[in-house]
Amino acid sequence: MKLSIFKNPKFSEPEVILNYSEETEEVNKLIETLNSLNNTIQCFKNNSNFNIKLNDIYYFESVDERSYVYTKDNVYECKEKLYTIEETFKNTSIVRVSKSCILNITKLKSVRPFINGKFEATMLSDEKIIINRHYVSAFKKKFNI
Amino acid sequence: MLNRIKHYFTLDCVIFTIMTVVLSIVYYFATWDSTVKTITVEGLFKTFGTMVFSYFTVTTVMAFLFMILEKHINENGYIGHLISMAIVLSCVYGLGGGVFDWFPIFSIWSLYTFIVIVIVYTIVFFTMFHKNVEDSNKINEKLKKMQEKNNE
Repeated sequence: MKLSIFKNPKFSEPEVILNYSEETEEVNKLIETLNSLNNTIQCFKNNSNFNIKLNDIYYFESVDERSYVYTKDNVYECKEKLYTIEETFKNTSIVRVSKSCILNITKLKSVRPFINGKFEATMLSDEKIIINRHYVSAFKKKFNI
Repeated sequence: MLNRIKHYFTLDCVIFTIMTVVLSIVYYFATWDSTVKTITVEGLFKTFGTMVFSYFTVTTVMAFLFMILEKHINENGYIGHLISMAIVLSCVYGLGGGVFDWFPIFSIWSLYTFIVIVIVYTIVFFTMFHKNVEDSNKINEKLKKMQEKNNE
């Protein structure tokens, strides 16, 4: 891998341009790392690629071994598994709430406890997500409780 | 792992405290054993010490089983409650009744014990639920502040 670094005062923010001929594991790893630094995730929908900002994501869901990203008005598919997403964005506003769901607490409207120890999270879009008992303690920790 | 041990130790303390309070009330009003009325102060302390030790042993084994079976309890909703109840019943009847002679197992006291278990379980259960209500209120307050800040 060839690395070229240029310092130029005309750029107001750092810009990374990645040139490659084929998608190798190394290239994918590099894209994933750059995305995590930028807090974005690469998704696709109708054969088009999108870089979705974490700030726009409501929650991630895994259905039949596929991962989906939910924003306010759209649903995208992404290549990463939930555990990879969780690991990549571990120090951000996302938190695992069940085996198949990770939610973004900045898009959370309210929570309420159930008598069986689970919690119900209401998103800003009014969608309801169940927080399983196993993940309740980690969820509370995200709010320093 | 350390956090889980901390959590279950807290649970152990909650169960132990509630169980001691409820059973102390039961022993106070119980009249089936006339020797209690004639027991010496020294004997009373010895009896109380043995009781406390046995309660602590039972609640600790209970907390240990909760920790081992945590996954099944947490992921099975109401069946999880049945597993929890089975843990409590096996500890109280097996250890309490069988090992520490808290009550004669094949007698009416088994039924009274069952009632005490249901009372203790219900109080612990609602104490935990109340804590979740309090925590969700705190979370909702923080979320409200976050949304107000974002709207500014």
